[in-house]
Amino acid sequence: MSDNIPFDIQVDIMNRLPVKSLMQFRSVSKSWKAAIDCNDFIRRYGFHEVENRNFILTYKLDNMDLLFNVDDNLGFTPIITDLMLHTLKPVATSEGVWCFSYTDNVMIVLWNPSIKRSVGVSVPSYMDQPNSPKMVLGFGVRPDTLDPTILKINYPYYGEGPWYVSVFTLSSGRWTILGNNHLPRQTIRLKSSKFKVVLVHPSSKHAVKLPKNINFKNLVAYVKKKVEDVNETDSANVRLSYKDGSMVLNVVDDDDV
Amino acid sequence: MSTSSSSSKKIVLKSADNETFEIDEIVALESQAIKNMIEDECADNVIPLGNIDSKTLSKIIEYCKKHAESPKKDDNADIDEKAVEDLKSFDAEFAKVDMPLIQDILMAANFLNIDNLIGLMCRTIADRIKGKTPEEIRKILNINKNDLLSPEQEAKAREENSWAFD
Repeated sequence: MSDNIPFDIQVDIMNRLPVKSLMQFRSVSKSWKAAIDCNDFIRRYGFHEVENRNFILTYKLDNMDLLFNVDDNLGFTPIITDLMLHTLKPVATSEGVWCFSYTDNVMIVLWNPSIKRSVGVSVPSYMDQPNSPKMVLGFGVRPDTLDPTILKINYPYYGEGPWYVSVFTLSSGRWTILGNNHLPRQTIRLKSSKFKVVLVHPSSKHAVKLPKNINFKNLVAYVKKKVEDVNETDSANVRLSYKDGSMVLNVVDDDDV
Repeated sequence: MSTSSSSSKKIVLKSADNETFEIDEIVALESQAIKNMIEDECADNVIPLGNIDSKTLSKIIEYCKKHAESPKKDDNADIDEKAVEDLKSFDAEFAKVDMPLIQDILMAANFLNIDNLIGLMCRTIADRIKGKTPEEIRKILNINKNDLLSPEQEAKAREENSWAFD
């Protein structure tokens, strides 16, 4: 029997390869590249690799977007990406998959750095719900199904008005508006509990603006001091991001939402 | 070939090179494909396997015998850990053969629909190829020339994964 191994079995073999080999083997053949590049692999791979990385540092240098993981001991690990990070606003990271929003929440980008793959997700226009133009996004990977899940809440500017809660799952590829009878009556409080949904609150009380042209060494010292000040890293999600020409350190804890 | 008691029902398999193997039915039932044949009463005295040679078939029978003898996990909540370990080391030893035979076993296991054996062979192949170059993979898996990337596409794929080539 010198026939070729059927392709579905070749995929079975791929599923058992470590991520690094898999990325190299994209150049084995067109079929292998197509199989490895398909969205399924984003869902299946790398979900448990980035557990204890509390910080994400992004900044722009000479038109280059740079991205680092910063661990508890302030060790910096560069992450190479083609994503235009300065155009992306981080929403949350969960189980190694990152969620960014793009141009005023028109688009959401899900990104798995361990396999360097991203997926764009269009966000339904708030024009569908004209009385509730404000929007807050949340993201988490369901630990049981490993399904990346986006949560979107639309709410009015002032006072009375309807709230709309929509959920998108990568497996379904669809947004679903939750019916009113499923919504909480008054306040919503999301914790990074079972489903690991963390909302980034834009007016986080811990948001800190950093000077614009800070150099790398000073930045490290600065971050370290800020983290010590915060002193509640256990429950908090600390995030450095590049926004409006400044570096922003966001500390998001459960009580902000 | 068979050494088991004469009371159990026998199945005879015939390889591509016309060698016959008499085995207990219980061993043959490890193959979902043969099981279906027997249940549908399509199995005559001899089941011809025209695409499996005798070398491959004897390995497959060795595997099925061992796994048919071993206590099944769902038989008993109180699983014999020693039996599980024993089966594991059998599998490890079983897989210590050259790559062409591994592939032949995999193809035959796929044809005969023996799930555990397909899994074992896929795991073995993945273990053996994970450190190899794409070129070596193409040779090992005999990838069709029409399926190759153009030099430009390959360069691009490599560039996109330059971090994986360090």
